[in-house]
Amino acid sequence: MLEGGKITSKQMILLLFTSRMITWIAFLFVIFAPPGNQDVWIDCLMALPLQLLLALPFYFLAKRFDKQSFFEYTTAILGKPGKGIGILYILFLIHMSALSIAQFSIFLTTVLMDITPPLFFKITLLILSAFAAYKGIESLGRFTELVAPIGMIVVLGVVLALVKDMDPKEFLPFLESGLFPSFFTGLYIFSTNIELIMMAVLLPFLNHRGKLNTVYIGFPILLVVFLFTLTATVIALFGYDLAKTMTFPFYSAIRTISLGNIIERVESIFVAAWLLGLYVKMALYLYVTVLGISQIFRLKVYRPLLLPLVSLIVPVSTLLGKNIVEMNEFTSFEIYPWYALNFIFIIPFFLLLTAIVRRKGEYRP
Amino acid sequence: MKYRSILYLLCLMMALMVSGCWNYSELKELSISYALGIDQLDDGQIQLTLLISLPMAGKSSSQKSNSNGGEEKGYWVTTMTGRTLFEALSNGRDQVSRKTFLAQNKVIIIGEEAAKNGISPLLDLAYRRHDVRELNDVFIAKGKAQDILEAKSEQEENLAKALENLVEATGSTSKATKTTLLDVMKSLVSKTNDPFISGLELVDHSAGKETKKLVKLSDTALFKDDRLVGWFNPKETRGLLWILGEVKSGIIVVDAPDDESKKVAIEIMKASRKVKPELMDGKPVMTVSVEEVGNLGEQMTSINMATPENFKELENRQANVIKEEIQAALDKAQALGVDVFKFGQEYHRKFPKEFPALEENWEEEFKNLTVNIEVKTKLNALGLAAEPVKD
Repeated sequence: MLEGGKITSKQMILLLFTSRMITWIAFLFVIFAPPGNQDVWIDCLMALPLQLLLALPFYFLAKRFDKQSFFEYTTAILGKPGKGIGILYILFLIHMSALSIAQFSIFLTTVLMDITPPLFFKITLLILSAFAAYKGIESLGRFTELVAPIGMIVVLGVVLALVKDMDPKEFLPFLESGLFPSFFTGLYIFSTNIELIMMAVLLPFLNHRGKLNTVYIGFPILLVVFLFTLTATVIALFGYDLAKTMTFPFYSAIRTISLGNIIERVESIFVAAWLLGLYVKMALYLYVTVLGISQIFRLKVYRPLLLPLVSLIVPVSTLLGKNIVEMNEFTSFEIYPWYALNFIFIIPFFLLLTAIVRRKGEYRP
Repeated sequence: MKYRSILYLLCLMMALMVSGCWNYSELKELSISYALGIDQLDDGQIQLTLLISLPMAGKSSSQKSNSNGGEEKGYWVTTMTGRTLFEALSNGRDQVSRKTFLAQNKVIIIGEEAAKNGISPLLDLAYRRHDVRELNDVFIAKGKAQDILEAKSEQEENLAKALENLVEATGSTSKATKTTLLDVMKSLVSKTNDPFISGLELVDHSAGKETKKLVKLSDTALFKDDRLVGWFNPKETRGLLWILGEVKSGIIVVDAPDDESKKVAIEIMKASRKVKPELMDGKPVMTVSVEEVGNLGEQMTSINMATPENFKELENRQANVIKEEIQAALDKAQALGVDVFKFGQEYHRKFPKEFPALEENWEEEFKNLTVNIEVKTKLNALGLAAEPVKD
C-alpha cells in the first residue's frame, strides 16, 4: 500500500476547490471567452450542469473500481496498454503543473515583485510543496481544511468591500447574443477543470465510500458559486468593456478597494492568501503525479520521486512560460479545450465503454 | 537523527533566503511622487513633471520658519523629457537621485496641448504599471501641467493634497466633477461614451503687495474619443451631473417672485434622475426626468416667502433653472457631438437588437437626438427664520 491515509469528503472538496480556484482568481479566463459581452456570467452557471453531465465517466468508473485509483483501473481495464494511458496522463499532469507554476510566477512578478527572478519563486514554492506532498494525503487534507476558509473569507471580504462601487446595470442587456456561446464557454470552463483527474486518483482515500456523491456534486457547486462571484464582481465593477482589457481582472478589482480612505491597498493581503492556496495546489499536483507514477510501475514508495519531479517541472515551466502572451494564447478558449477535453472527457469515456464491454469491475449502485 | 538535523538546517537556510527580497525598497532611497504632470512639447516629446515629497525638508522648514519666513518647501517639482512617458521617467534618473516611487501618487494632470492630441496614449503607462493606482484623480490643465504643479498651495503642505481635497468637496457645489483614472478608462474603452475630466486653471490672486498664482478647479474638459474638444462651464457641468444623477448638493439661485432683481438661494438636499431611452419610428428620443428636493437657504427680498403660493412659485422657478442647466449642457455636447451623458450605453441596454445600427453612426444620431427634460422639484424646509426681518 503506497498511501495508508484517508481524508474526509469535506477535505477532498476543499482540496480540489482550492486547487482550481487559485488559478481562476488570478487569471479569470472566462472574461475573454465568448459571448464576449456582459453575459459571460451566464457561462459560469452553465458550467454546472455541463460538469455534472460530462464528469459522469469518472463517476461510473469510480463506482466500478471503488478500491482502485485512476492509474490502477486503467491497467485493470486495458491490461498492458493501460500503462500507456497512465503514462500519457502523467505527462499531461507534468505539463499542467509546469503551466500552473509558470502562470504563478508571471502573476507574482507582474503584480508585486517585478525584479525578483521567476526561477526563485518557482524553486522555493515547489520545494515547499514537495514537502507537503511528502507528508501524504492526510496532512494535505487537514492543511487545506485550514487554508481554504482563509482564501474564501478573503475573496468574500473583497467582494463585500466592493459592493458599494458596483453597478448592477452593467449586466444589461441580458442575453444579447443568445445562449449558445455561453454553452460553448461552459464547456471551456469544464475543460479547465483538470482537478477531475485528481478526484479520480484520490477517491480511494475517501474515508466513507458513500460520500462519493457528496464530492461529485459538492465540488462543482462550490466552484461555480465562486467563479460566478468573481466574474460578476469584475463585470459589475468595471463593466465588461474595461474588464476585457485587463490581464488580471479580479486583481485589478482588489486594487480599487477604498473604504472611507482608510482601508486601501489590501492587495498584498490578498496575494498572501493566494500564495497559501497555490501552495496547496502545487502540493496536490505533485502528490497526484508521483502517486500515479508509483501506481503505474508498481513501486513500493512514492516519496523519493518528489524531488526528481520538481527538478523536471522547473525547467519545463521555464520553457513553457516564455512570455505571458504565449501562455494566455495556449490557455485561451480557442486552444485549451481541445487539448484538455481529451483527458477529462474523451479518454475516460472510452475507458468506461471498454470496462462495460469487457465486464471489468463490478457496478455497485 | 542525522537526517533530522539536516532538515532543520535546510529550514533555517530557507529562512535566510526568504528574508531577502529583490524588490526591497528603503524609505530613504525613494523619491515619493504625489502628483504627475504630463505635457507635450512642441517637438512632440513628452515632458513629465513630478511633485516629489521631501519629508526631511518639510520637517526642517517648520523649525526654520521662525527665522527664514517658511520659504522652504516640503516638496520638489522637477521635470524630465523623453519620447514616451516611461522613457522620460527613466531619463529623470539622471537628476533625481532616488528611485521614483509612484504608489503614493494621487493626482495626474494632463496639459491642454497634450490632451488635444489624445489622452489614451498618455494614460497607458499609468494603467499598465502595477504601482500606479486606478483611483488617482485625473485633471486637465488649462495651459501647461507644469505651471499648475509649480504653483503653491497656501493651505496644504503640497498641491496634490490640496487638489485631492478640492475634488472631494465638489459634492457640495456640484459644479465640478471628480474623475478618477478608472472613470476615464471606463469611458475611453466604450465605443459610444465620451470622457469628461475636471479642469484646472491658474488664477492671479493678489495678497497684499505681491500677486500669487492660485490653482482653481474650473471647467470640465470634454473629449471626442480621446481628444480634447471643448469645455463645460460650471453651469453646464451641473447640467451634466443632473443627467448623470451625480448631483449631491449645491445652491440654486432663482429670481424672487416679487422682485426680479432680488435673488433667492435654494439648497439642493436630494436629487435623483431617470433616463428613459425610446425609439420612435426608428429615431431615438430620450427622456430625462430629474426629481429634486431643496430647502430655502437664503432670501434677499423682504416679502415673506413662507406662503404656499410663493413656495409653489419658487419650486417652478427652481425647476426652470435646473432645466436651463441641463439644456445648456445638452446644447453644447450635441454641438460638439460628444456623448458624455452615456446615452449610447442606455440605448445599448434598452435596445440590444436595434443598437448595432444606431452604434454605427452614433455621433450623428446623438447630434440629432431629441431630449425631453422633465423636472420635478419640491421645497421642504426654510430654516430657523420663518419670516424675513424687516423694518
